[in-house]
Parts: sequence; structure tokens; C-alpha cells
Amino acid sequence: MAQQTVKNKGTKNNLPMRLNLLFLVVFVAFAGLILRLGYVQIVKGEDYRNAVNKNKTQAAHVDSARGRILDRNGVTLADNKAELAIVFIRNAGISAQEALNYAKKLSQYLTMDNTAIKKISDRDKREYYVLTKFNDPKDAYAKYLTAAEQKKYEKKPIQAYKLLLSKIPKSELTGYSAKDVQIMAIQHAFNQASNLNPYIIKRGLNVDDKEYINVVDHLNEFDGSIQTADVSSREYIKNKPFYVGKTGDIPEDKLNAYLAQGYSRNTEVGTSYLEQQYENYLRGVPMTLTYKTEKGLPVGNPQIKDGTRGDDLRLTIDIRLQKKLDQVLEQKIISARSIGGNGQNDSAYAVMMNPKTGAVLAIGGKKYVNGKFKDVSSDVITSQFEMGSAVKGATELIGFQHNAVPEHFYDKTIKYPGGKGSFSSWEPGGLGAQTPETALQFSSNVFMGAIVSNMAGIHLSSAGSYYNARFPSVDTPRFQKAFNDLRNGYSQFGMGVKTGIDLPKEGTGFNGGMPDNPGLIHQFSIGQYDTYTPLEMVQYISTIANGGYRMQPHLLESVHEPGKDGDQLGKTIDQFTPKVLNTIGNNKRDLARVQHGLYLVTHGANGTGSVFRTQGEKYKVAAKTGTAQIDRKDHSLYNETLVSYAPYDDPQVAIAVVVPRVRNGHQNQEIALEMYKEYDKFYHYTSK
Amino acid sequence: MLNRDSLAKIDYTLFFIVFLLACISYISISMAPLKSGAPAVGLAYRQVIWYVFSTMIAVAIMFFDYERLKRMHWIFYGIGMFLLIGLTFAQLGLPVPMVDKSHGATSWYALPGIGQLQPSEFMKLFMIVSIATTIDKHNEVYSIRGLREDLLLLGKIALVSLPPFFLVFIQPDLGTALVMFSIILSMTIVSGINWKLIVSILITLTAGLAFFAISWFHFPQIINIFLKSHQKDRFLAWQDPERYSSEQGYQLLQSIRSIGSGEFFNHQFNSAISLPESYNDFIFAVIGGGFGFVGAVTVILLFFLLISRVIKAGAETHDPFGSYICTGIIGMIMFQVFENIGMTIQVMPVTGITLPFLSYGGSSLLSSMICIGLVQSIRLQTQKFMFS
Repeated sequence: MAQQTVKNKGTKNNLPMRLNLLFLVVFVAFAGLILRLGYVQIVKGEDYRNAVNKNKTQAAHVDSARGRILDRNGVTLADNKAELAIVFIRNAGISAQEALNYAKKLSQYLTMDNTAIKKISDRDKREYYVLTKFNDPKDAYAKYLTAAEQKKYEKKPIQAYKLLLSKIPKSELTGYSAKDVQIMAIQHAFNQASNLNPYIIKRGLNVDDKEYINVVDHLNEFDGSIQTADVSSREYIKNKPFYVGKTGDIPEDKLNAYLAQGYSRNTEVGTSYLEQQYENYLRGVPMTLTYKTEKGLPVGNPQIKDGTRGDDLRLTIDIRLQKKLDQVLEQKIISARSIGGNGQNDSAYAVMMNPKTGAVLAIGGKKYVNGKFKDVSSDVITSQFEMGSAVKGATELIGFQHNAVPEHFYDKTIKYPGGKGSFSSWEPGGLGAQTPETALQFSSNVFMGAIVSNMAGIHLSSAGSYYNARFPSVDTPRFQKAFNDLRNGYSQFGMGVKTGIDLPKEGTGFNGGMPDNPGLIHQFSIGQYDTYTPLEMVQYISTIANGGYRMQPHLLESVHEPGKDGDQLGKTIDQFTPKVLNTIGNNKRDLARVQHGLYLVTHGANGTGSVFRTQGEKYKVAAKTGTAQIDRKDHSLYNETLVSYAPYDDPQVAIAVVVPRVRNGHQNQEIALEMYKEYDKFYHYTSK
Repeated sequence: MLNRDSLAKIDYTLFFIVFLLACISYISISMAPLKSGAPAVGLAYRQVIWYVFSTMIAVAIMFFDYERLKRMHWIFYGIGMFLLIGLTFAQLGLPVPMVDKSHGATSWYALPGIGQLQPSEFMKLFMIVSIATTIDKHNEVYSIRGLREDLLLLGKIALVSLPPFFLVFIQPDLGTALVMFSIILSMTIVSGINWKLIVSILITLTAGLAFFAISWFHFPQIINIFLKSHQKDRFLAWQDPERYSSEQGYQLLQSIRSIGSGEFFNHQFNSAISLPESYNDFIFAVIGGGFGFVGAVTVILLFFLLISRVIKAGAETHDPFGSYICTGIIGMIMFQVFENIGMTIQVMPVTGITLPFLSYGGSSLLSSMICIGLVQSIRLQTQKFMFS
């Protein structure tokens, strides 16, 4: 072994040199680290030390009042009511026994209401039992835990306590006096409080309430743990429209997300509709109380940084129109039900929107239940209906996109092969020769059938007073494409897709999928296959009214800083800009033809929109009616629908109406006409 | 084997440096705040036990004739690869016993009663030995060399080192993969390959780094191919820890605050700082915060001295195989120290690498102490040649 020779002289010779090179690299790298350390520790050291010391504080937050919600003209829909509250401020050093003593004392001055009492949990009862029945907690452990258990959990007090609570027999947890219950309710509230953040024990108090005065008189008995506070609670306009939404406790499942954003546990947050959607604006900046801490416990008086009230929302809604709409819907349900055969009708829905900007003016829905009217206006954005012929304007435009619209077509019954049904317009003998315009005016089903037949490759051969139809299989690519083209076409107008309204959720109607019977494409073309929401319908007619732009419907007009004077609107900090979601694939000429067709519905002789011609010529409405057969067996039960806009030469407002389950009458047109009248009363469009 | 000569040849300075590092390790771990805010005194005791155990291993290795590794290297290499492949299988969803997934990577085996074992810690060493053997055997065969022979050697090194490198990289353990890369590069430089070839390799690497930097700022889609999102987050946090202070940047921010607030010479660790992994990867932040600039520089100087002792051993031995092993060890310690300390003061992005000899942890300490054992063994053999 010792006789091994040295190998590889050549390599060996440059080895130390290369090792020294590595040494140089090490030197440079480590010198770099030392330089950087010098910068961090000596140059910047003091800054970092200060940054660390700043962390030696603890902050608590007190919520500021929420922003207000106003209609387009400044009428207040949601506001805050100032009130007084008793709050509990938890200091990390407080013991369970001390807290119990505070609760006992407080129960002498304050009465907790039933909602608070209902919140008392099983755990609260068990804790109360341990605290009140034993002078020393050790006795409780000795009684309920075996020696082995006590030893096992000696160093795990939290688990031991949990076990102790679970061992208390249920029989011990009954027979509490009203006074005990009061104390437990207060204890429960105490337990919710996180460190230093004031937790409201009782709110809604007035300065001259006896309880309030009692507590104030005895404040010094609580070592600063109990305080009074000015708080605000949400107050809404009477008959608040649904879209304003609600506030409430932070939902359990979202608690962590809110806490991460600096909310405290007992903050009231928006829990539905606009209150939820625009929470970030409405919330405001909470007041911050910063305490210095020593060994993790806060000491001394906090440094206070004032918060600011939340921003105000101005909506596109005109509350005058909203109220009128609510009223008209109720009247028309009553009048519909007074007509023979309409016993099944109990509801009506309508929505008004500016077709050029998507600004929603009013959303209404009423249902007659057990002799009373119930507000169901949220159904306008979430519930779907068969809309019937109201969709025909879109059907024609989709046809134009695929060069499938005949210049002339004779309206007579289409017979299906093998005697399996037929497809015809509402007039048993047929409507005669039709153009694209008159097909809308008279609401020709057969004309729509001809358009989709052209798209899908359905052969219609004339045989005397009817057509014989020859269908391709639903599996053929052409049929499938036509069906998809039709559905995609409707979605260009907003039907069957989300409208994009600025609310947390909305419906999209029901998508019937691909049919197993090819004749259903005819039903699809006249609005009797897929279903849509009323809001989708107003978006659709707006798209035709404004020249082909699908506008996002919106309820928010602008956001304002809190005004100096309580009622005035402050500086505008955000303005909703109208948003075009897509444009439709039609040229101006085709669009103008369909618009003219919609004009003929309300102005041409025998047009289906006769109410507008006979009673509302002045209001310059263009429209499409619909009567969707909604019962396979009972063909005279309809959804009466309407899509419309006015004035037809420069549209300012669009209205969609659905009156479900009727047999007779023109409530759909009457509701819309009433609303055009009301709109004109405020906005004077007929006189311009 | 134990005789007066051998005992005289031991590098006592090296042992003394390690002893000082052990003391610093004990003190700083017992100062490091746990999640609860209490210092990790319990862990410091366990670290002492690990030190005792791994010192015994180091001494055993010292008296072991390291030249026998030339014949045995493939056994260790094989065991290391076997364990790494086991982790890869576990990653693919196959049931592999005792695999422990944590910190977003599959890098550990959980051994009942002992604790976690990180195979990549030991694979670094096995790789050093295998590369050293490869270079040594090659140079023995090709004493006269040209470009062809050099390229052949380069290929052999790649063949030995890339499989473990790749397996560690996909765990994903970017930190250890980079350490391995530093080992490979250092050993390639001393392998006797022509300068021109080395320079062109370095230029290629620099260009690669530049490419990465340019892509980072201008073509993020390229970066997305190479880096998983949690690795990308580390770079983002490195760039702007304030902005990412709630997630990845928090560690860095807390660490740099801790070190900064140590100023020139602090006298106690500021307990207001909460520092995740402070006893482990971020032990340097505790040292910098607790003893200021003086303490931090002392640690760096100790590492510098330690490396210089290893270089001395490598330069003095007459056996190139020993030199290669020393070089690998230098490449490893140098990079780990630079990366670990660098990441605590925002010089390098945060990766999961321990600070040798100081961080709490058995695998890491044992592999560092094995290195010391190997270096001592090389010294013992060296002297033998001189007197024979």
C-alpha cells in the first residue's frame, strides 16, 4: 500500500492551482456576504430595529358606518340609524372567573333579548356549570376525570378542559333560572369577542333607556372591559326592492376570508345582492385603536386613528318607476284574474332598462298568494319562462346571418310525416303570404319554421293547403349545426347566457340540449324549447333597439365619497361605464327590417300589439308579443310575454313583461303601456 | 492502525473549528423562537445528541482507508439512487413505505423512532465519491489527453451526476439540486479538463443565467415551463418581500428584520420577532439578530477557515482521488453557506437548504460530519506517503 506510485503527474500539477481558484471564488462570495451584512446591520440596522419594535403593538378595530344606497335621483334606499350599544372589550389577561363576575354584574343592569338567549350553546351551559358549581376548577377535574386522565392531560390543559366539559352529564344542565339564562347569554357574547375588538353585547339602545343609564352609572365596576359605543344599524326604505340586499353576520363559511381582510368577527357585512356585491365600497374604513403591548398583553390607552364612513352608491334605479311598476303589476294580476278562464294566473313580472346603456330602471315581480301580494321580483333575474313568439325578432336576425330568410313565404300548415303532428300559426287557415316584416307583425310561426327549415335542411313541399315536411335525422351534421347555430344566435342577444348584471348571482334559463325529434327545431324558433329569464329578454330586445350591441345590465350608476352634509352626495369616485358584451353579426339593412317588423306589430293593421295601436299611439312603442303554450295537453293555457322599446326611432327605454298561466287578455301589453306612460310623465320623451 | 504518527497527523484545527460551530449551533438553536414564541431549547439538546453521534461516525471514518471507496463507491451510489427513485415512485402515486410528504416536496422518509431521513443529503456525498472515482480512473487510463479525451470525461461525469441531480430537482428540491450542481461544477474544474473547455462551459452557464433573467422579466410563459408555482413564488418574494409579506415573503422579511435589528453587536435576541423555521433553515437570522454584525461575521469567518483547511488537505495530498473528494466537499459547503446565508439577507432567493453544522437536523449534520471524517482520513493517508 505504501508503495503506490503517484499517478498522473500532468494532471496533478495544475490541481493545486485550480483549487486556489476555487478558494478565490469562496473568498469573493463570502466577502460579498459580509458587505451585504454590513449594509443590512450597520447602515440600515436602526430602521430594521424600529420596524421590529413597531410590531410590539396590537390593534383593534371599530367598524364605521356603511355607505348609503340611493336611487338615480338621490332618494335614499338604504341608510344608517345611529344607536347606542353596550360593548365588551376582551383583554387577553382576563380569566374565566373574572369574566363570569362581569357577566353576573352586567346581568343586573341589562336584559338580553330572546335572539341572544337562543344563541346559548351546549358548551356555554357546560362552562357555566363548571364555573358556578365549583369554587376551584381543580375540584371539577377531580370529580369528572380519572386519575389516569388527569395525568395524561397534565400538560395539555386545552384538551383536558374539553374532556372535562364533555364528561358533565346532561342531567346537570337543566333547571336554570331566568337569571342564570341571562348570565349565560352575556357569557356567550363575551366568548365571541376576540382580543381588544369591541364586541356588541346589546345594541339598539337610546340615551334615556333605563338599562343604558344603569350600565353607564356602573361602568367603573368593570375595569374597562365594558364600554358604551355609538353604533349604527341599517335602515331601509319601506318596501325595499330586493336588489338592495341585506346585511348580517359574516357567513360561517366565509369567516376566514373576511378576517383576512381585516374585518372583525362581529362586523355586519352585505350578505345579498347590492349590499354584498359592492361591500368594498360600502364598508368604509374602520377606526383603529392601537395598543402598546408588554409580554403580549396590551397596556395603557390606545392610540386612535379615526375611520371613515363607507362610500355611497347611486343606482340607475328610478324608485318612482319602481313603485309604479309594483303597483301596476298588482292591478294587472287582479284584472287578469277577473277574466274568465284565468284562474291559474297568479303572477306577473316586468323589467325596464335603458337599451343604450344597460342602466336598469325598475325590476318588478308580484305573486298573489292566499289573498295577499308577495314580492317575487328577484325571480326576474333567477327564474326561467317559456317566452314564445317574443323571441321571433332574434330568430329572423339569426336567419339573416345564415342567409336562410325567404323574401316571401306563404303561411299555411306544415304537416309532419306519418301523421305525427303539424306546425302552424295561430290562425287555423294560415296567415297567407308573408314577408320578414309582416311575419313579425302577424307573428307567423310558419315563416320562422321556414327559416330554420332552410338552416337545418328540412324539405317543405307545398301540397294544396299545407306543406309536407321531410326531416333529416337529428344526427346529421347539418341539423346539429343548425340547432347549435340557433342556440348560439339567441345567446348573441343574451338569451340562455348570463346577462352580466352586477349582482352576486343570476339565472340563465333552461337549456333543453339537443332534441331527439327534429320537429322540435320549429318549436325552438318560436320560443317554445329553451327557457329564459325576463332580464335576458330585456337585454335581447335592447340589442335590437340600440342597433346590435348587447349591453351589460347594471344597477350601479356611480360611487360617491361621504358628503359633508349628511344628505348630500360627495365627490364622485367611480362611475359605471356602459359595457358592450358583444355585437350581433347582422348588417344595418337586416336589422332595420326587423325593427320595422316590430314597429308594424304595434302600428300595422291587425298587428298583434293592438293595445299600443288603439290606446297608446302617442308612446311610439315597437314590440313583439308572445303567447307560449305551456301545457302539452291544454293548448289554450299560455305565458303571455312581451318585449318592447320606445320611442321606436330613438329608443330610450326597453321593457320586457311575462304574465304566466293565462288564457285570455292582454295584460302583457297593458303593463308595458302603463309603464311607458309613467316613464313619459317623468322623462317627457314623447314631447321631445 | 492507531499509532503515534497517525494521531499527530490529525488536523486538530479543523476539529476545533467544528467544535466552535457546534457551540454556536447549540446557543443559537436554544435562542430560536418556536411558533409559540418560546425558544427551541428542547431541540438544542437533541442537536447536542446528534453532534455526539455524528462525531463518533466522523472519527470512525477518519480511521477508515478512504481509498477503498474507489472499489465500493457504486454500492453507496446504488443505495442513494434506490432511495431517491423510491421518492419519485411515491410522487407518481405508487405506495412506497415510510415516505413523508411535507413542505410541498417529496424529499423525506419517516423512520419510526429515529425521525426524518432526507436521502438527498447523503446522495450529495455519494455523488462526490462517485465523480471522484470516475475522474481518477479516467485520468489513469488517458495520461496524454486532447479534446476527445476531455469530452469523454465530461460525458462520464454527466452520466454519473445527472440522474441524482434530476431526481432531486423533480422532488422538487431546488436547493439541494443547486448544491449538487455546485459540486459537479467544482469537481469538473479540477478534473484536469482543458481550460478552454472549462471557460466555454462557464460562458454557456452565464448565458443560461442571463436567458433566465431576461425571461423572468419579459417572457413569463417560458419561466412557467421550468418552475412550479411555489418555486416561482420564491423568486417573486425575493424581488419584493413587502408585497408578498403574507406568504412567501414573510420569512424573508422577518429574517432580514431580525438580522438588521441585530445591528453592530446586539446582546440579546429580540423576542418580538416571529420567524418560521428559525431553528432550521433560518438559523443564521437568529445568529445575526442575537449577536449582530460581529456574530454574523464570526460565523462566516469560521466557515472560511473551515474551507481553507479542506483546501489545504486537498492541495497537500499526493493522491488526486483525495483532492477530488476535497474539491467536492468544498463545492458543497461553499454553496450551501453562500445560499443559506444569502437567502436570509436577500442576496439569494429562498430555497430549502440548511446551514451546515449550525441548522438543527440529523441528516444535515451527519452528512457534514462525514465530510470532516473523510477530510481527516485523506490527511492521515497523505502523511503516510510522505514518510514512506
